[in-house]
Amino acid sequence: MLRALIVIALAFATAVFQASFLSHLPFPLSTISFPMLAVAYGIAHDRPLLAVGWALVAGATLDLHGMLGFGSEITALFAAFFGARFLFLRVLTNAGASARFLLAAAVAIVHWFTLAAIDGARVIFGAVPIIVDLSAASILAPLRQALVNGLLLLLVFAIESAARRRFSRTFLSHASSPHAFS
Amino acid sequence: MTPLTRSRLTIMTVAAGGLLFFLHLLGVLSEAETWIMRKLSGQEAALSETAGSIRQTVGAPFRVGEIIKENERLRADNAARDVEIARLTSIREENDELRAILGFAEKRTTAPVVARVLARTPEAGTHTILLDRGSDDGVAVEMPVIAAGGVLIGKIFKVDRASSIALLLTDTRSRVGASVQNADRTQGLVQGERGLGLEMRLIPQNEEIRVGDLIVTSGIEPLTPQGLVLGRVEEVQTQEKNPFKKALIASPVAFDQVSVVAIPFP
Repeated sequence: MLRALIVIALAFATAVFQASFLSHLPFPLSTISFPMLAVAYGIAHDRPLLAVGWALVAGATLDLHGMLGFGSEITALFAAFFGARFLFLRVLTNAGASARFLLAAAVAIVHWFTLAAIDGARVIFGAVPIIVDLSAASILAPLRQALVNGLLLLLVFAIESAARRRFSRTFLSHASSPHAFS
Repeated sequence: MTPLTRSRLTIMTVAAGGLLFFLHLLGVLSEAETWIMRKLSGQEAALSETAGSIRQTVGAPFRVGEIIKENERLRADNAARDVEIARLTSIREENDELRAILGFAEKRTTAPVVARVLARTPEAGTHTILLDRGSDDGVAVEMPVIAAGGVLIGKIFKVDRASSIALLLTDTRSRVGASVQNADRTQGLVQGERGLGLEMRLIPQNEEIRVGDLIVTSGIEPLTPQGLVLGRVEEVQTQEKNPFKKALIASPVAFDQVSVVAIPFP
C-alpha cells in the first residue's frame, strides 16, 4: 500500500515537473517524458502494474494541462504500454541495449500515433487540429522524443546496474564471509 | 504478489482510467479538477518562472554577439522613439483639449485579466501555454493574450474554469489579421512559422512594405482589438508569378520566456 502511494505521488509530481519546468527548457530537456520512461521501464522489468499505474496518474495530470481533452494522455499512455509490451514479448526479446532503446522509442512513437489518432477523430467532428500537422517540425517531434527517451532509458538502466553491482559487492562480501557475525 | 493477482490489478488500473474518463464526461470531476489546478497554480508558476530564467541564463553566453547587435539597434530605436513620443504627446494634449471642447465622456474599459504562465502543454510539436485564469475570471476562447508592452503573443484556444490554454502566434495553426503601419495600411495575415517565428502572408505584390515597418493587428477578428503590436518587418520575400509576397516578422517578445500575460476584454 505504501509503495503504491509512493508511486502515485512520484507519478503526479514528475508530471507536474515535466509540464511546468522541463517543457520550458531547450531541446533535449523539453522532450523528456517521465510517464513514457516509466512505462518502458515497467515493461522491461516485467512490472506491468507499475507501468499502468504510473500511466494512469501521470496521464490524468498531463490531461489537466493538455489541449486534447481529458482522457487523451491516459489513452495514449495505455496504448503505448500495450503496443510496446506486445513488441517486447514478441520482437524485442533480447536484453541488449538496442532492444531497450527500441522499446523506449516504440513507447514514444505509439504514444504519438495514438494522440494523432485522437486528434484526427476530433478533426472529423469539426475541431481544430492540434497534433496532425504536416510541417517538418511536427513530424520530427515524435522522432526526437523517441531518441531522447530511448537514450534516457539506457542511462537509467546503466545507473541501476552500476548501483546494483556496487551494493551487491559490499553486502554479499559481508554476508558470505564466515566472520560476518562473529 | 502472484502473476494472476498482478494481472487482475493491471486490468483494474486500466478500468480505473476508463472510469475516470466517464466521470469527467459526466462532469463529476469538474470541482476536483478545478481545485487541483488552483492548488497547483502557485507552484507551477514558480517552476515555470525558474525554468525561464535558467533558459535565459544558460543561453546568454552563446548569444553575446546577438545581444550586442540588439543593444545597438535598441539604442537607435530608443532615440527614434523619443522623437515619436514627443510628437505623440503634443497630439494627445491637443486631442484632450478638443475632446474637452466637444464634451466627450472618456470611454471606460474593463481592466484586463492578468494571468501567470503555468506550463507548456504536453503535446509534442505544439506551441501553447497554460494560464492560471479561466472562465471563472471571464476568459473566453479567441480572446487575445498580450505580453508586456502591449505585444500580442497569442489567443485563447481552450478554457476551463480555473485555467486556459493560449495558442502562441508562433504555432503553425495560429492566424491573425494584420496591417502594416505604412502609407498604404497594407493588410495581410500573420501566421506562425513552425514555432520559429512569424510570417505575414497575402500581401499584394503592388503594396510597398519595407524592413523595419511596424505590424499591428487589423482588428478583423471580433475579440482582437486593432493596433496591438505584432512585431517589425525583418525581411520581405517576393516570388515571381505569385500574386502575393510575404514578410518575416521579428516579434519584440521572446515567446519562450514569457511568464506573465494580460488578457484584455473587448
